[in-house]
Amino acid sequence: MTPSSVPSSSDDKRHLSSVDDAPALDLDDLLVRTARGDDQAFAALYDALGAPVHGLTRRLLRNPARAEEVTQEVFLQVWRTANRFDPARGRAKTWVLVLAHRRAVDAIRHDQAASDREDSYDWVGGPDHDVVSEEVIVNLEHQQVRRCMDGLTDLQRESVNLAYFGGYSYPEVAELLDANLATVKTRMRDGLIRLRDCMGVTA
Amino acid sequence: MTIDLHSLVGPYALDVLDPDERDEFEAHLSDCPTCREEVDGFIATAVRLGEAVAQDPPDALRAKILAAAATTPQERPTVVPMRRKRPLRSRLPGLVAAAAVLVAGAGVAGYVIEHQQVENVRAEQSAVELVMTAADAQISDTQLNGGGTMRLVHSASQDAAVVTVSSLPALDDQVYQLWTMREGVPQSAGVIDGSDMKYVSGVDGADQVAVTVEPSGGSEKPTSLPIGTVAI
Repeated sequence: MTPSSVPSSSDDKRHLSSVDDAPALDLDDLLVRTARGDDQAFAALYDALGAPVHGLTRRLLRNPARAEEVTQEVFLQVWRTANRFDPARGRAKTWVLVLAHRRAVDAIRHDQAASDREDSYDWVGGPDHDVVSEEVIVNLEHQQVRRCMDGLTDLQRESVNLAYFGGYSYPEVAELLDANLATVKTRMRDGLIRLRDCMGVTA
Repeated sequence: MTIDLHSLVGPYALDVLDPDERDEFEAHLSDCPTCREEVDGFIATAVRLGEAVAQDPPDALRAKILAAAATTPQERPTVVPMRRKRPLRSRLPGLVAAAAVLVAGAGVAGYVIEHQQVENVRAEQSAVELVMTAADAQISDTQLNGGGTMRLVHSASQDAAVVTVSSLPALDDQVYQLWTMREGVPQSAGVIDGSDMKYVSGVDGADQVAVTVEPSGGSEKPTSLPIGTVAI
C-alpha cells in the first residue's frame, strides 16, 4: 500500500500530522496483518513502536525491570487483540500507544495496591511531582513538543505532566497541585487545546 | 449532565479517569459527535507526548516478545455460520477454541449466558497469557499416535499448564479427552477438539498429561490407552 494509491481514504483517517502520514499508513497495514497471525508484520510493528511504547512504560513505571514486563504485556495484548483494531476509525500508532498507556497505569495502580498492603503506613504515592515534571521536560526529545509544552501555563503543564507522564489518578493530580477537581479538569482541557493547536494536530 | 460529562474530555484523553468514569464518558461520547472529534484530537496530541519520550527497549526483549507471541493464541473474529457446530478444521494451533462460544448464543435470551461466557473467555485468556509468559515456562512437544501433535507449556509458579493440540484426525461419535496423571492415577482435564487449546489449572503434583479417545461426551475414567503423553 503506497500513500499515493489511497488519497481518498485519508479523509476518514486521524491526521496526527502531515509529515508522518506515510509511515502511519504502513503501521495500520502491519496491525491488520498482525490480526491475521502474520508474525513478520508483528515483528515489524514491534520494531516501529517498541521505542515509544517502552519509553512510556519506562516513564510511567520507573523501575526498568517492571517497565520491561509491562512493555512485553502491551505487545502480547496487541498480538492477542489486534482483531479489534479498525483502520477506518483510527491509526495503529494511536491504538497501540493508548493501550500501552492504559496498561502502564493499570500496572501502577496494581503495584500501588500491593505496596499499600505491605507497607500501609509509609506510602507517599510516588515521586515528588516537581521531579516528574522536570525530568519530563529535560528528556523531551522532540523540539516541537518541548516548545509547545513551554507555551502552557504552569498549572496547565503540570496537570498534563502529572496525568500523562506521572500516571496519577485525577484526584491525585488535584491533590498534588492543591487545586480543586473542576480546576484541574479545565486545566487539562485547556492545556490539550493549546498543545494540539501548537503541534498542528488535526483530528 | 451532558455539560458535566463533557468537562471530562481532557482527563479522559490523558487517561486519568477511573474505570467507571471512563465507561460513563465513553457512553456519552457515542451520542456526541462534537465530543468525539475533540477527544480524537486530544488523544492524538497525547500520543505525540508519548512519542517524545521514546526510548529503545533492551535488545533481548524483542526475541522474548516474539517467542511469547508465537505461543499465544489470538482473538479471532468469528465467521462460522450459525448452527454449524464444528468450526474450521485447519486453523493454527494457537486458536482460541472458546471463540466459537461467541456464535453459540443466539437471540436475546441467550445474551446473558453468552456475556458470561465471553467474560470467562477473557479471564481464561489472561490466565493463558500468564502461563505462556512465565519465567519458568517449560515447553514439551509430542507426536500423537494416529496423527497430530500436542504441546504442553507448564509453569510451576502459575501452578498451571496450557495444552495445545493440532491436526488430530476427525472423530465420529468419539472425542479426545485430556487427563492429568499423578503416579498413574488419571484426573480428567476435559474434552478437546482436534485442534484446540486447553488451560489446565492445579497441576501441582501431576507428572504427566495424557490424551485418550473416549465415547462422545467424555468419560469419568479413561477407557482406552493414551494416544500420547507428555511429562510435566
